[in-house]
Amino acid sequence: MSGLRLWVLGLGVAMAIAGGVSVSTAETDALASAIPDLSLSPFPGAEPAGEAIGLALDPTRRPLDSSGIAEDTVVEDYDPWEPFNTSVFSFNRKVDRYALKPVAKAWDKIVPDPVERSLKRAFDNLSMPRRLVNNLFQLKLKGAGQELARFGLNTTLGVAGLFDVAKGFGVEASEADTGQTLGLYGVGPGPYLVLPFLPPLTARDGIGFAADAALDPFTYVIFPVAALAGTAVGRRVDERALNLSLYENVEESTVDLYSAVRNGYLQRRQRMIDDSRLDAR
Amino acid sequence: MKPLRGAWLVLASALALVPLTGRAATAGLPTDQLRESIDRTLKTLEDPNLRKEIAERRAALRGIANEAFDFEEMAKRALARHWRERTPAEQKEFVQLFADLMERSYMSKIELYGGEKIRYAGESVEGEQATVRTKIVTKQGTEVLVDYRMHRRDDRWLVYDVVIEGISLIANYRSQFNAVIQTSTYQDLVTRMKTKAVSVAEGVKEKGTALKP
Repeated sequence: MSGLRLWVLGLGVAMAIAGGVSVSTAETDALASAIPDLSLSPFPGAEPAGEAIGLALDPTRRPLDSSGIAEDTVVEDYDPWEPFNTSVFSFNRKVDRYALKPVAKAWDKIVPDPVERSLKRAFDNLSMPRRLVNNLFQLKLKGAGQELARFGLNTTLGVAGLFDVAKGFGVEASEADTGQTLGLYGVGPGPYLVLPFLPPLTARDGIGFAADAALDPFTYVIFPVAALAGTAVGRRVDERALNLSLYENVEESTVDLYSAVRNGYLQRRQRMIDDSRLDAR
Repeated sequence: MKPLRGAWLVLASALALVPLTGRAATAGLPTDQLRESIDRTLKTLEDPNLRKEIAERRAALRGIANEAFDFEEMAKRALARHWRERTPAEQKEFVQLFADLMERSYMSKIELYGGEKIRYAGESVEGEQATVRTKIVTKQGTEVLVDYRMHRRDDRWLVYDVVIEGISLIANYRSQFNAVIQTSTYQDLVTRMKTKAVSVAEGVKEKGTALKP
């Protein structure tokens, strides 16, 4: 009995951490975490910070066609911890299948879609510190300003973030996380990493993930562990419920889900870092 | 001295590119042809007469896809270096299997279509290759970035890769196919693609189109 309770608590805490970073903007990101990159020499972006910023002025550096590096080359995704990752990956799938998905399905039945989306917005609103700090580190002053303005508008007029009024004023979110900032400063992704209850990561993004969790008010404000776990699980379930059909399709269209998720994640992260390089002006 | 020359070169080429990209942004042939295929697809999906005739609708959609996509090129790129190791007969079979796989993953997705808007966000052309950037705007205002990589075959521009939110479909399949071949065999890959076809077909029969969009 107590063993079970402990396990459930552990699950909650782990999901809390996962929820802390959660995936970023709306549906599109679930897609990213579901299908997941390419271009991976272990440490591709290992230039000094100065040069990384310099790159921002050179849009020609982004390859036009990353799929066609050469028709023949297979760029192997860097995954030296594959045996470990594979087993955690299948564990995570079981968690999704037997715990997260059924709960999300039930949730989806009870809760109307607009409410699900409102909740998601409220959770996103609270991760403003992560986006603000990383926009600043990435020298995206405009993005940082947008985040502040959004937080102010949505927390007040948008009723604790339930409604995105800022978007109506044309102030869009400026997504940024610590893994991306590290990438921009020249830290390569390192080995691919799959941890229990968490979305896919690399060694670099795992560090970024911990830093992002530290920037998330959920980690501190609602301290009593149960409440923390509760909210974070709620957040995770809410996201999953919003994306039920999306995940369904992903499994239909792959022949090897593990490498599909790994490649998709790595590609998307690389693209996000390339994009923030272009944006940082 | 050297880095300075490099910087000038970059600047010069950047300046040279300005007029080109400026013109390309006003949409050209690749965008027009892509738009035509997408418009036809949407029209088919919205056609009230076809709404109940699922088989008929699928056939119509398949027809459009066959004209817009270069499945052979896609299969070849996805198999990458393993392509050359296959006999011509195997290659032919693989193109068909790959087209089926694409069709299934696309078709199930496309049938969830619920009035999303497609915006064309520009194109860039380099010789025989082009990238057309689009945005799918959902009713809730969420944007999904979808880039189509195209190349010219005779007088038509055909899609050979689709990049969704920065994820190249072909690169993704390439890594999957490579993983299966490396850890198992090419035959196993073919078997998986065939059984996938069967299990998905059965899944569709069971579930119908009951998926919530």
